[in-house]
Amino acid sequence: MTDKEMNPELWLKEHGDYLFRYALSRLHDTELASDMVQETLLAAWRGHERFKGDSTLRTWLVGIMKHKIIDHIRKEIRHRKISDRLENDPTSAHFSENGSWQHSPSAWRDNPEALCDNQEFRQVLQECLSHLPEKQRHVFEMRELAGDDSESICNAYDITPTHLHVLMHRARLALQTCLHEHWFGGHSKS
Amino acid sequence: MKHACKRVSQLTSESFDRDLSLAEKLQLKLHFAMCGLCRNYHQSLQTMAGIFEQIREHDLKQDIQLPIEAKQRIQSVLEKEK
Ligand SMILES: [Zn+2]
Repeated sequence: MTDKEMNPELWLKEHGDYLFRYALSRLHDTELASDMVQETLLAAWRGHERFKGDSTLRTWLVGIMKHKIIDHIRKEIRHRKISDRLENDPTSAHFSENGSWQHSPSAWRDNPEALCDNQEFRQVLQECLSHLPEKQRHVFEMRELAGDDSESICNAYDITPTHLHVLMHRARLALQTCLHEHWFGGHSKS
Repeated sequence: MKHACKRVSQLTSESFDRDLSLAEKLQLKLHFAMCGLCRNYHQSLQTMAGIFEQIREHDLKQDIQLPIEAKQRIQSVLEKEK
């Protein structure tokens, strides 16, 4: 880093918005996301000798923020004791005793891009997401909306990969059913 | 049916989060060949994954900015620290 670049106020100016978006997509809270930007820049400034320059400054800052977000989620879970009991399997309702489908899933052939731009669809999707149990929803959104890898999510929520797969499966099945009911099955899409 | 749909739906979901083993891939392929419902389910999950991918890209392009008050607050915190 040159002396000119060694300036946290410049980091704020150049990377503040990006860091904010990164935190917001994972924490869904403006205030909290702003705090994360502050903590990240402070930590980066205090440890700036550790920046080796083998990655870009932004990548380095995002790396710091990633840890801060994971720490935050871990604390939050401990604090609020968000439960995630796996004992009763909600997917059972979708299958008969011999494991075949109780309802008939339909194939969706709609164009994802067009759906993404469709405000009415986005609203239905939000609605369906909001019906998921809390932890399932957080994990699902971190994976699908923030696009994080499984390892970071397992770390943040302190779960095993197997547990993650179970939560993702439950979330997908619930969403598939909800979206079928409220959009793909018979809803007028024009 | 050798591989019940319940088990296959779980594997189908996992195929979006990890690399399946060769045996698992074969299991899915064989089941899909004879089960239209699981084929449909797989198809709908593919569309779902596509939707979220679009939303991710879309959101990244959005011009969401750090609120100005927060920017000023952080600015003064950093100034004190220097
Ligand atoms: Zn099947």
